[in-house]
Amino acid sequence: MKPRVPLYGRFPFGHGTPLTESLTSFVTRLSHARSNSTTDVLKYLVWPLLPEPPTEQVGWYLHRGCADFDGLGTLSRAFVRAIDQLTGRSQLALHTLLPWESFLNPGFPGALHRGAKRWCSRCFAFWHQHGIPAREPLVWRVSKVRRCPVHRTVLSHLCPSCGKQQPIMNKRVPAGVCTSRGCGELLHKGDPLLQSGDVAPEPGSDDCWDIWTAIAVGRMLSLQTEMDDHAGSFGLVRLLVESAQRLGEGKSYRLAKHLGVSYNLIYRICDGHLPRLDYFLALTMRLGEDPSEVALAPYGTLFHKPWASYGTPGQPWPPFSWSRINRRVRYSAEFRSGIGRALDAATQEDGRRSLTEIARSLETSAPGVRYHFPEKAAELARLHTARRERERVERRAAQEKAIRDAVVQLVRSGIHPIARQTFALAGMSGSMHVKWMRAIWRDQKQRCGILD
Amino acid sequence: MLNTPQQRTFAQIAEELADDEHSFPSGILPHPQFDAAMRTFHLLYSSYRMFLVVGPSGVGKDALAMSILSALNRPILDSPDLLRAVMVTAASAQGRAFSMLELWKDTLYAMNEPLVGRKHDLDGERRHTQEAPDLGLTPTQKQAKSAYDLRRYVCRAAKDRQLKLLLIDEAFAIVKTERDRSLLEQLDALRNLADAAPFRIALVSTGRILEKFESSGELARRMRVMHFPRYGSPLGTNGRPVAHSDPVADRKAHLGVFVRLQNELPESSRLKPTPHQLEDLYSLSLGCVGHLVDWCRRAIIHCHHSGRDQLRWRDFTETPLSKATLDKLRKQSDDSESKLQALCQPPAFSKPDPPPDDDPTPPVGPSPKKPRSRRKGVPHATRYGKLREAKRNGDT
Repeated sequence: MKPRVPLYGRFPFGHGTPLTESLTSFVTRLSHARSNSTTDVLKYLVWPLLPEPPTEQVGWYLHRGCADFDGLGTLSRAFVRAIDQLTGRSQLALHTLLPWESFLNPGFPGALHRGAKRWCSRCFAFWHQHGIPAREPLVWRVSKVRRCPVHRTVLSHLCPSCGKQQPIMNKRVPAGVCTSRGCGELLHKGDPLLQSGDVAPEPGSDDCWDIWTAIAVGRMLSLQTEMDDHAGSFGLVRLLVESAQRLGEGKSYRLAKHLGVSYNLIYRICDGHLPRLDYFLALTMRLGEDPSEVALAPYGTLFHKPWASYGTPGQPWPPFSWSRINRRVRYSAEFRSGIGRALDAATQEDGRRSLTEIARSLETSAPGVRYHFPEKAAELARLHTARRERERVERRAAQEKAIRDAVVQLVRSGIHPIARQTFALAGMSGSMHVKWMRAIWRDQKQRCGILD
Repeated sequence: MLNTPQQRTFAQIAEELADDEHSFPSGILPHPQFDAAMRTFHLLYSSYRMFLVVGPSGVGKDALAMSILSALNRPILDSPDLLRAVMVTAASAQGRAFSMLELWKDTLYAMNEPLVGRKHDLDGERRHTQEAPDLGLTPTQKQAKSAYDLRRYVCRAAKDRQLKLLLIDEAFAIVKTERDRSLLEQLDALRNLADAAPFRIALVSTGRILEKFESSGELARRMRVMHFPRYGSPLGTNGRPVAHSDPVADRKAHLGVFVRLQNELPESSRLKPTPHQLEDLYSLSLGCVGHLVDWCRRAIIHCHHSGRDQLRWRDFTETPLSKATLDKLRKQSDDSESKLQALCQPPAFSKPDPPPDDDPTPPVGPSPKKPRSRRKGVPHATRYGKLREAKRNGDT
């Protein structure tokens, strides 16, 4: 009798669909099915099977390091092999991005989102309503995807009940439930996105790009088996060469100018370098092709049919400029309004949080926020700077007073106030701001008439 | 690759038998009593949630259990997830008293459950359970330590593994308690588990377990008992006396096992026993196949250590069980058989059973007329005929 595997009783969901379950989500469900925490399973079952023990703590992998397991690269491959061994299953690599290694750059770590968890509330609500176990599809984890490929709604990243972010792998609670201590609500409960219907994007809008990306990536994920066997980089090279003939009169730099990308990018791809995921998506979209067909195209196939199945019928895709693509990904109308609300709230708090903190909590960057909300950002920056200056002055005054009291106390005790004793008596650590504190200390000693 | 039995030399077989892990190459030897026990086990397995297999020491209970294990976990179901039968031992390896906690832990280990000591409590917030029962429970930080928690994990693991049978060996350890009340509680816990989980529980034990059954009628009522008899036993597999016992056939079947064991050896190494020696082999192994197999194993190892490669009767005469051991084993099996007979004896019914040849279904329609005897010269034994004959003879 063959030995039975320790992780059993659950199957990975969504194979061959856009909502293919991610491998980390499968591991989380397996752990919970066996009443063990995900941390314990990773630490005691998975880690010993990896060729090299991970350098980080387990908790770091729950929050940020899952991209290493579900993405591209050696750690992902080792993780898949370990889970294969623990579950007795094969083809678990189809629940990661490993089948895309043949046409995407595996050295680029940004293919998967490294921040907080993102989810589609309508998917969770549907599964909950129909008694289907909740899971986390891989498409929600791809960094360029901002919408659900099925419902086309924006992915949420804050619990509607407590407003907190969620780690990517849950330690103990099942998927679809808030992990915050004291909350524990369902993540789709009370989400305003549940009330919104299907989105009808205007051609050329930011939503259009978001929906196109979500559906294209979903389609690529649904063809994982074919990707694993037949995908390659020939298709993109062939597409660029053909497009250069068609659009750039045979010149690569003219094609680059037409597409709004650098010549170096096209040159390197044609030279055999594998592109990043975002470049791959942008190039295929600009050239009007289906990314999955480009990835699966055998060598020698000519692209002749315009790909229009995902856009609005009869409406051509608008000409994008490459420099605006990233901003279009980030700043849809809904997202912009969310940033505006967050800036207003921060202004009312008298600049307690900085612009960078707010941008990080909204998964964006401070320059981007400044670009779209220059006045609000400037007002917030002014308030925050004033508040910091005020706090600095107060802190310095308090420290001056503490050091002076310590010096006076030491002198009265008949002890020469050397720096270490003074700082210890004042309750300060000498390791930070040493120069500044020493300056205060010397000043106070001079005022007390003590000379070294 | 393993060698076939014909290719093995006597020395190879003896060296492998010296290691306890190895048995005879053919493994479990089927014989008539074993087949009858297997049939009865199958009958009980298909009819009852929990039952007890009793038999004297060395009769082949473990072989029966292993045979059932391998039959249920046969290669057609050799999925890495599924597990149809597991066997655990109720007796503690450290000699401690029996505890349900240890039993559940052993069961989880037998099912290859991961991280048994690090499982968390399932009694979490009920809110999500009520709203979405299929989502699973929301556990708390508390670690699971009670037997109740572990029993739930056993239940859950059995459902996921699709377990069909849990064999508990050395089950007398369960009833080895002073308090009848705690014994009943433990058996209730087992029964509740068998009701809640989709598997059957079979307790395997020697006759020592019957002592408690004798004193507790409640216990005897709850448990179905199956007997695995030795050869020459007056009882059958249902614990009642055998109607047509045949000692000669029993002896032949028992010694047939010896012949098959000898066939495992090279032809030049076999013993050619006399009828007296065969009689000794039967009587000194108490009719138990397990004792006979162990005796043969000891004799082969003794022969090998003596530098020979042919069995002699001397190897057997120097390696039997001691007289005291045999007497004890005989006494134990006699005691347990008498207890089992008392336990399984049917009550006296007011109307005896009809003979087995009669048709139990009553005939439909008017009763047929009784045919008269057609033999000539024999008077009918009727009251009228007797009276007439007496009148003719002059008696009044």
